[in-house]
Amino acid sequence: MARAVTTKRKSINTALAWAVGLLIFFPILWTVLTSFKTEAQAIADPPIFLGFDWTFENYSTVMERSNYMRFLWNSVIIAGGSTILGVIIAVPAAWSMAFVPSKRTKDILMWMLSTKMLPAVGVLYPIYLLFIRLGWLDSRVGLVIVLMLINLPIIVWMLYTYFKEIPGEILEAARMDGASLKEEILYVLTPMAVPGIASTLLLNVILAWNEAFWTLNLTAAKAAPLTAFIASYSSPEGLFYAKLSAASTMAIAPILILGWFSQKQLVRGLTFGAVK
Amino acid sequence: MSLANSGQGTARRPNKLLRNLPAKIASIPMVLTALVVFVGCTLWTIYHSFTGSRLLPAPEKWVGLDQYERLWGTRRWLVSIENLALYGAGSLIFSLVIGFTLAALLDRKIRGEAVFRTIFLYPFALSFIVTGLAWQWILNPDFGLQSVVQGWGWAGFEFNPLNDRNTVMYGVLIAGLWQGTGFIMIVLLAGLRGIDEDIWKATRIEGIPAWKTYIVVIIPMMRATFVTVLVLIASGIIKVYDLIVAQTSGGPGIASEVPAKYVIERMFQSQNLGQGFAASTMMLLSVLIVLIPWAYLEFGGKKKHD
Amino acid sequence: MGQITLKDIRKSFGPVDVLKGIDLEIEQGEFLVFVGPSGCGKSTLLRMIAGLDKPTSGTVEINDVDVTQVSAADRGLAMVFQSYALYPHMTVRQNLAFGLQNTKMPKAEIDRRIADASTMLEIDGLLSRRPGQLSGGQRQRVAIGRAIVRDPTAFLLDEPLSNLDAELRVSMRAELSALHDRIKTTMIYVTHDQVEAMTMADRIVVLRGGHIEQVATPLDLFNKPANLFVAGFIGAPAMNLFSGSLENGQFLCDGRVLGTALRLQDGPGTLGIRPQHLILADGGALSGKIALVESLGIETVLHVDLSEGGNLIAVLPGQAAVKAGDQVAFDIPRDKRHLFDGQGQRVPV
Repeated sequence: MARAVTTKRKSINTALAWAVGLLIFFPILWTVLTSFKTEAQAIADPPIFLGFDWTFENYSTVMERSNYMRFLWNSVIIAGGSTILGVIIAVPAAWSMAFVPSKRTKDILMWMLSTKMLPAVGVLYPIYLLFIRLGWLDSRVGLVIVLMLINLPIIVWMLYTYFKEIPGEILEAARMDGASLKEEILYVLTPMAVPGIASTLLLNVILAWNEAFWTLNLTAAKAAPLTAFIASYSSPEGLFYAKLSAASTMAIAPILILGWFSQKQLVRGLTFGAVK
Repeated sequence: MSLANSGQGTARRPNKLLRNLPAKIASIPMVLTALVVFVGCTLWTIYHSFTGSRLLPAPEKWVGLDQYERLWGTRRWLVSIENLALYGAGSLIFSLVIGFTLAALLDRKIRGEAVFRTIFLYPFALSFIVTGLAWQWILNPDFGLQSVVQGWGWAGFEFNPLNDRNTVMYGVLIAGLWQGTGFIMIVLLAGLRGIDEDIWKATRIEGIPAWKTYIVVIIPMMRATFVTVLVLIASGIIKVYDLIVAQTSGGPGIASEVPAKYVIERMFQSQNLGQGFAASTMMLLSVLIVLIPWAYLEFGGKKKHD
Repeated sequence: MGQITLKDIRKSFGPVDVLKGIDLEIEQGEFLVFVGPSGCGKSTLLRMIAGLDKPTSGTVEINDVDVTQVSAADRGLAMVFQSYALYPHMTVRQNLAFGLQNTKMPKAEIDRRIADASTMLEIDGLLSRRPGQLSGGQRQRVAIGRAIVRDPTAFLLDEPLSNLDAELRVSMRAELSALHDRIKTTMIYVTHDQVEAMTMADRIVVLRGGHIEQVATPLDLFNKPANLFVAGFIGAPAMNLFSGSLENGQFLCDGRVLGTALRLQDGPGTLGIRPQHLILADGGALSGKIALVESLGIETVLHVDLSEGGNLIAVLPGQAAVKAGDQVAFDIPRDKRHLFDGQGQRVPV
C-alpha cells in the first residue's frame, strides 16, 4: 500500500509526477495536433502549438490515397484472430499447469517464456519458406497464425498466473457442493477467471496490433495491417508530416481509445495481475 | 512429467487419471508448437548458416565457417553489433533507473494515480513504428524540439542527435526509453506494492532514511520482480528493428544499423541468405551466452532446495 | 443416517506415508474431532472421507456402502474449509443455492432451505451481499450455512475457526456445539487446538505420524491417556513426566522414590502428574527452587528447578504466596498419578 507521507510532500510528488506525465504524453499530443494542421503549418519554424487553422484535409487525403479501412480491417482481424486463437489453445494448457501441476510444469513454463528472448530473425526465413509453400504469404490467415505463435508463451504465462490465483479450496468446495467437472469449470472457474482472461486478451490485442517485424516482412499489400500502412508513409513521402501524423493518429486511435476505457484491465494485464 | 505423475497416478486410480489425461492433452499443442516452431526453425537456420545459400537456400553447398569469416570482416555488421551493445547497455541502465525512480515516486501516494498510470502506459501501447516516426520528427532540427527551444529565445540551443553519426543511437535510445520505460515502471510499481507495509514501519522506527531503505531492504526483496523486468528489457533489446526502420532507416550512412536489420537485408534485399543465417546464428549465440548461465543459476539453485 | 466406517486407510504421496492404516467407526450423530500436531495426517484423513483425495489402499464406507471410488460430488457430504472457500463472484444467496441447484432441487424448496438456514445463522440480512463485503465471522457463518442447506449425511470441518480472532472463536465454538445439538447430524472436525477438541467433541481421535494414538471421550483422554504422547499432548500446561524405573513396587527417578505400593512388574517406566494435581507440601517427594512465577489471578503457574535435576511445572489454585527463589516441595497424590511402561503405554496403577 501507499506509504504514509505528509501533505506537502504529497503535493510535491504529485506535481513532479504530473510534470513527467505531461512530458511523456507530449509526443502523442503533438502528433495528434499536427494531424490537424496544413503541411506548411506542420513544418513551420518556430512550430505553432495551438494557434493554427484546424483542418481535416489530411485525413481525407490519407483516406483517399490509401485504403485506410482495409488496413484497419486487416489489423482488427490479425490482432483479434491471433489473440482469440492463442487464448483457445492456451486456456487448457494454463488450466492443466495451474491445477494439475507436475514437477516439470515450472520448467516448461520458463522454457516457453525464454523462447521470447530468442531473436525472431533466427526463425524468420524458415517460416517465410513455409509460408510460400502453404500459400500464406501476404495472407491474413498466415499472420494470424504467426502472431499467435509469437505471443502464445505470454498468453500461457499470464493465464497461468491468473489461474494460480484462484484458490484450489474453492474448486474443492464446488466439488463438495456436488458440481460436476463441467459445472465446476462453467460456474466457478470461468467466472472467477474472467478478469484475468480479459486482461490477457487486451494485452495481446495491443501486442499483436503493434507487431511490425512479422507484418512488415510477411505481407505486401493484401494483408498489410496499420503498422505497414504508417511505415509506407514514412520513407518516400517522409516530408509530408501532417499527413503522416494523420495516418499515425488513425493507427493509434483505436488502441488509445481501447486503452482509456479499459484502464483497469490494461494495467492488470501489463503487470500480470500484480496491481489490483 | 509422466514420471512424476505415474507415481501418484497408480495411487489415485481412475478419477485422478481422468482429471490428469485432459490436462496432458491440453498442453500438447502448446509444447508442440514451441518445439517445432522455435527449436525446429532455429536449427534449420543454424544448419544453413554453414552453406553458401544466396537467393535460395542451398543445403548442398557446404562452406563451413566461410560465412562467419565474411560476417566478422564486414564493417556494417561490426557497426550493428556496436550499436546494439550501446542501445542494450543504455536501455538496461536507464529503464531500470528511471523506471524505479518513477515507481518509487508513484508508490508514495499521488493524486490521480490511475490516470497517471495510464498515461505512462500509453507509449507502450503504441507500435515502434509510430514511436520511431514521432521521435524522428520531434528530434528534427528544423521544426522539432530544437526549434521550439530556440523559438523560446534560447538561440544557442542545439539538440540534433539524429543527423550525427556519433549521436544517432542516443536519439534512438531516447525514443526506445520513451516507449518502454513506463511499462517497466508499472511492473516495478507492482513489485513495490507487494512489499509488506510493516517493513516500512520497521525501518522508520529504526531511523533508516527512505533512500537507504530502498537500496538496502526493498530492492533485495524485489528480486523476482527484477528478474521479470530484466527478461522484458532484454527481449526488447534483441527485438530492436522496427524502431530503427521507422526512425532512422539505419542512417546517417550506416551509423544506426542493428543486427536484425542486417539479417533481414541480407536475406530479402541483397540475396545473400547464407550471410543472413550466419548473422542470425551469431545473435542467437549471444543470447544463449547470457541465457544459459542465468537459467543454470535459476534452476540449478532451485533443484538443490527441493 | 450418518455412519462412516474407515477400514485400514493408507495414503502415500510418493515415498512419504502420510496415513499408515487408519481403522475408525464414526457413529451416527456424533461430533468427532481429529486432533494432532501438524503433519499428523488429520486433514488428509478428512479429505479421504470427503472424497477430495483417494486413499492408496483401504475403504471408506458411508452407511455401510463402500464409497471409496465415489467422487466427492456424489458422497452427499458437506465441508467447511479453513479459508471458507466462498465463491467470490456469487452473492451469499447464490453461494448457499449453488449446491442445491446442482441437485436439480425445485426452486421453492431451495428458497425455503436458504430461509431456514440463514435465520438459524442470523445471516438473513446479508443474502444479497458478496463474500468480499463480509467480515471474517460473517463469512464463517455463510460457509457453515452453505453446508447446512444441503442437509448432508455428515459435516466435515477443516480447522474452520482458525482464521477468526480469539474472542470470536470462543463464541463460534459454542454456536457450533449448539448447532450440533440442534440438527444432530454427524460432524467430523479437524483442529490442532486441543481446547476446541475438548470443548466440542463427543469423541476425540488423537493422531500422530499417520497413526491413531487414542480414540476416547474428552474426559477419558484427560484422565486416562493411553500413552506418553497423548499424555503430553492433551492438557495445558503439559503433564510433568519423569522417566525412571520400577523396582519392587517402587517408582524410582534420579534416586527419589516418587511412588510406592505399585503392584507392577519391574522395569523402566515413566510416571506422569498433571501440573494442576501437584500439592504443595513440606517434605514432599519433589523439591526444588522456584525459577519463575506466572500469576494469572485465578491460578498461579510455578516453574520449578528440581534439586535432583530436571524441572517441573505446577499450577496452584488462586494467588499463591510464593516468589521466584523460594524453596518448595510437592506431593504426588496417589490417585492422580499416571504410569507408563517402557514402551510408553499406559499401565493401570
